[in-house]
Amino acid sequence: MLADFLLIAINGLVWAMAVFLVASGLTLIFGILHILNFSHGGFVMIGAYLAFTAMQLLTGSVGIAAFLGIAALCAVAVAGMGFVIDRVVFKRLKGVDDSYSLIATYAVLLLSEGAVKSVWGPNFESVYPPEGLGGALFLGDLFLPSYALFVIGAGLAVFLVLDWWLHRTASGKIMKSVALDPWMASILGINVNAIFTTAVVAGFALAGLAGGLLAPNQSLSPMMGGSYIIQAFGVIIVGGIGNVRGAFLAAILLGLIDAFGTVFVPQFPGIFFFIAVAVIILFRPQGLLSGIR
Amino acid sequence: MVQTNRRNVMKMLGASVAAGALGLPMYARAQSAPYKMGMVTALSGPSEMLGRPMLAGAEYAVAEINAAGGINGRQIELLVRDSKGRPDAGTVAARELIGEGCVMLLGTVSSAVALAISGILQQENALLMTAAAHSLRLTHEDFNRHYFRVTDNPYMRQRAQAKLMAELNGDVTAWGGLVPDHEYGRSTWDSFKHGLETYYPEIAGKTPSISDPILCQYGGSDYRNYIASAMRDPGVGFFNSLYGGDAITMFQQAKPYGFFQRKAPIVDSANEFIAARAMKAEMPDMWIGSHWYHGAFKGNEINDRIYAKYLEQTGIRFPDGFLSEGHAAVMAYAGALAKDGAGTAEALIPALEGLSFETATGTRTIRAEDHQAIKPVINYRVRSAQNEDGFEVVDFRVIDGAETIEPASPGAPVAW
Repeated sequence: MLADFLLIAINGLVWAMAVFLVASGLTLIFGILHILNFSHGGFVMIGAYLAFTAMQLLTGSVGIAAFLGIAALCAVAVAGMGFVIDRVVFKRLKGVDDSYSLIATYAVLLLSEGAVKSVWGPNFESVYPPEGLGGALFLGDLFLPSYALFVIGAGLAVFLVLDWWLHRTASGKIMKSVALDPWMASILGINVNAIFTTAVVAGFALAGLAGGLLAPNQSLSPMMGGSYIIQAFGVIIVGGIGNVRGAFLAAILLGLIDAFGTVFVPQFPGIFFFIAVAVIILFRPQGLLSGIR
Repeated sequence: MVQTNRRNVMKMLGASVAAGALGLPMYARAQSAPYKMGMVTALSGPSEMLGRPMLAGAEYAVAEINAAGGINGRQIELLVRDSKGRPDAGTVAARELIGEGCVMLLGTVSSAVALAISGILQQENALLMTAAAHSLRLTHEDFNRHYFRVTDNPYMRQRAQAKLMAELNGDVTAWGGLVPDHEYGRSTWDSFKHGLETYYPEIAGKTPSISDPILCQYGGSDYRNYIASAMRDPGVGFFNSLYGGDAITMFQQAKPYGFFQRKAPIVDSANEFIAARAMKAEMPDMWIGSHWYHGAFKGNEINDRIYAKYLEQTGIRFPDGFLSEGHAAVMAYAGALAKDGAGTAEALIPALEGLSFETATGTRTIRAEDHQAIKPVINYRVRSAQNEDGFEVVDFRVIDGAETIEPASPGAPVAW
């Protein structure tokens, strides 16, 4: 019974960290630019497809180090795309109504789906975990897939790095100051435009990293951009939009609620995530934490 | 009353000649104009990879018929619209095709799209011949005379799968299931369970113990909790009707748990070769239900012809059954047109009822009462392999659909 309970909790954490990996870039861009980037899922998908291609090119077995290297390369490649998107799209969205941002970023999502379909085709593909993460660990009665533990570790690592960057480094503090008051920051000599670009590039890099790390977690198709994005939006809304710590806490909370709900009320699979989001927003419309943190 | 004098006779003759000059070419054109068929299928969106081969099959059939001189001396024109796999877009596409003169609609991958289009058929006086949509409601609760299904349904297929398991694995009597929480998922499970309860006592002489199915979220990205529930389930044999990307995600996530070592046999409702092509050498060993498998019908001229053509066009060695079903839908309409060439809904409905016609799986007959085709049910066993495809078909079985089909009850639900 205890083993079952722990397994459900760990499965909830796997879901939570997978969604946090996707949501981290989304909430970072919103926190700094106040743009809700609908195309984010599309770039997670591109990261996953790039990882798929890289793993195909590496004939033979792929080890954990190579897999991490591939994920890092996916992050760099998608960050480059983010730089271009910033110049072509995001720069033009400053000071315009939110509805334009939604339409523009949705258009970018459609473009990313079309691009994936053109390059990789409409069929499903799959990626398998690297050597060393394909099996499972046995702790008494508890059965833990290695890759699932890896996803938890990756989510935690990304959170710690992001949190350290935003709160412990000069560049992170400058970024927060720009998010809070860009006019005052510019008066103080901060290159606000460069900070905005940095935030977009970092957000897209996180999307690419999430795609690369999560490629073995689910099937790949040109529609996969939407597979995490609803949960990611739920997590950043519950966490407090723009707040990385809030997103991390919300992902864990929603992941555990969804996992236990799914197991103990199996007649209604998948519904507990939405119920939890609705209830939390009802009582804390500003989210668990608010402001950029 | 018109007087019969020379002047009036000349007037009538003149009028007749003029009428003939104007009217006859129109009549002649109507007699030689192509029959229009309208294909509504998913050509974009998540079901695109199912809709494309369906379209290819329909195009092959039209090309073959036209090359042989058409039907009643008239060619077939195939008009195509994208349903995007969505009921709203499918209905708009159907109305457009009907507006362009298509009485004969065909295609549709999704049951939701088929149910939506089925609702407008009577008011538009058009027909729909679905080539994949499996919902039992289409030929039962929501039946209307303008709807026809050219392929099998869950009652036929899942009961055939249960029959096959009773024959091959009579000692495996504990069964469980992972099914998506929607109408298709529940109807596949109800049918499979009914088949286990029917055929295990009859064939294996044993009473199966069947767990409640584990209902899974549709379109999910994480199935680990469902898999954990399945691992705790007493079922040894397992039935799956998760589909496409959901099935692949679930199979991927289930492997590290040793699911496929502890649960066997696995019976998959309908994933054709979709999962195997994606997973390749990681494909778990399972029996899969299909509309058509080219290897099972070697020697059938249509089978051999469409397989060779598709292989040449796409390089895909294991095509999905949607190819043959698109072809079969056109063949059914062609058979009806040969019986009654008027091409109207009023003429086609009785012509289709009870019609037998040739397809890639042999002769099919459309049952007159509920418009459900009686066709063979195909199952093949797939597993990973060290070859260029990464998988192989190690066995296949063709089960006569007439043995497993439900009694016709149009307008009423299936009686289990």
